[in-house]
Amino acid sequence: MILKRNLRLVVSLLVVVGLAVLVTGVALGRGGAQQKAVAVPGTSTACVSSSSPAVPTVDVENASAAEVDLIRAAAQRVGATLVTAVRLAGPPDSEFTPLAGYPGDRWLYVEVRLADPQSCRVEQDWQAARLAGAVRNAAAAAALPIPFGYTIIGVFPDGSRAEPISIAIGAPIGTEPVALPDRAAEAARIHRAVAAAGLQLRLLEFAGVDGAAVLRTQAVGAADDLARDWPGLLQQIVGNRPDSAWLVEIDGADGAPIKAFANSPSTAGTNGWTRPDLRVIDREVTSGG
Amino acid sequence: MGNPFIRSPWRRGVVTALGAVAVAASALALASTATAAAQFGSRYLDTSCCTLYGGRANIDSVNLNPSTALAAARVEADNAGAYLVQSGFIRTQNIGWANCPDVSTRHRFYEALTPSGTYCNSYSDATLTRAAVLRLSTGPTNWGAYLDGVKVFDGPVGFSTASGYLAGDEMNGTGGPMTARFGAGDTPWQRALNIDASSYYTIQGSFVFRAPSDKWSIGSLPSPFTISGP
Repeated sequence: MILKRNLRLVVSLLVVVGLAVLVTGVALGRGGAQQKAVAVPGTSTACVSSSSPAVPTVDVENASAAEVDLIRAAAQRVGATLVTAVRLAGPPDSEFTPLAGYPGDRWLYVEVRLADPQSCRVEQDWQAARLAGAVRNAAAAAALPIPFGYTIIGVFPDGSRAEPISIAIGAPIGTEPVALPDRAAEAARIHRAVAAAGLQLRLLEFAGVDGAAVLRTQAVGAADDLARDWPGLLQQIVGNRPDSAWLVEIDGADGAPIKAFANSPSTAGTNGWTRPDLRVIDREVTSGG
Repeated sequence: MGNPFIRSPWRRGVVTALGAVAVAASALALASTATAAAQFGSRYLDTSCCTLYGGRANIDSVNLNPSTALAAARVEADNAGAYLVQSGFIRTQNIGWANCPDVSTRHRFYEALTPSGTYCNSYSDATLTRAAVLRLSTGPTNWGAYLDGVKVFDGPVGFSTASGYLAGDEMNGTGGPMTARFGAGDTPWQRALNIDASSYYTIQGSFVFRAPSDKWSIGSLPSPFTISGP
């Protein structure tokens, strides 16, 4: 009986404390410094998938056989396994013109597979970037018409499409990702770094002829802690490699992705993703205008 | 280049003392090793003035010179939430990554934080750049980022018209100072009057934001105006 009464007391106390914390949080949320979470559904779909031997289907408009071959070769060279189709045409509209110093008159339309609108698409966007950079460099080297940008078109399983995203390539022509000289040594380094960071390595692959590292790791800590520690973790895992292509995903204890980030030197581009509820905003009350 | 990674806490916002309006300050990130908070100096508009379709400004006299971390001078539109688009100049020192690629020397850039992910590309440096972010009719929430009149990004950023639009500087870390001038030459700081920006209005009045509140010098309108700090 006494135990039951004590238990009820403990539960009551917990409820009271919980309510107090809740009320305090709401009060802080309306007043001083606060953090705001964005209420958008998350995803359990990994950002990084295990590669498959798929080769993109290439449908090229107004192009020579040499361009078709070039695109197919580039897709294989960068390991564009999530790219389902590539089309070469003019830019999406007349406002996309080459910046001074960035020659070109064509545009790549890259279709990628997406699981659903909420899924992490870092790898798809990264592969599209790598492919666009590789095609541009190869076209310039072969004295063929040069694409100066690309559009990513996400295609869902039911055939519907995401809103396209169009990007002008930023890297100077000829910028290639620095290839890994020794994959075995890099794999050993990554294994050590991941372990030292307190993470588990769920997947490690080297994509394309340049050996771009693709990592999926898992942590046991709280997701918000991981998001906060992300830069340090990223540095620890990948090292100082701004001229190499890579993609890193960190999953939470539940196996769902928390953050992912990818580097594509051939386009001077990066793309990333954070679990929606961790897209935190710090708000500060100030005197404003 | 030194430590190439910096913190990516998405972005900071500021709220006026009236508590009614939030204005974006940044998506650029804090250095993992430079733990000082991000610092901002800007002129901004919010929805109290008008419907915000973005706008443009020339940016010149850019001295992005923090002794640590990251500096940027840009125009930006946001939803007072998690999403924004911005373009202008960026540079890091002793670190390399924001949400962006290697910008250890000064580059032009755009950055878009969108529901589907973050996108950032860097472009060669230039003496002067006309930076613009504009609401476009290419999609229900599409915005474009422009450098010198050339579109470099077009995509769904998660909001239609903006909650805030600004011209300003950002610095992460404790170094400095940095200075940028907005609205020089033939393109003062302007806002777009409609979707696809077929016409512009030269901004005559705006709010000022400083963080820290005592360490930025923000010039007055009309354009051009200089922002220095911290």
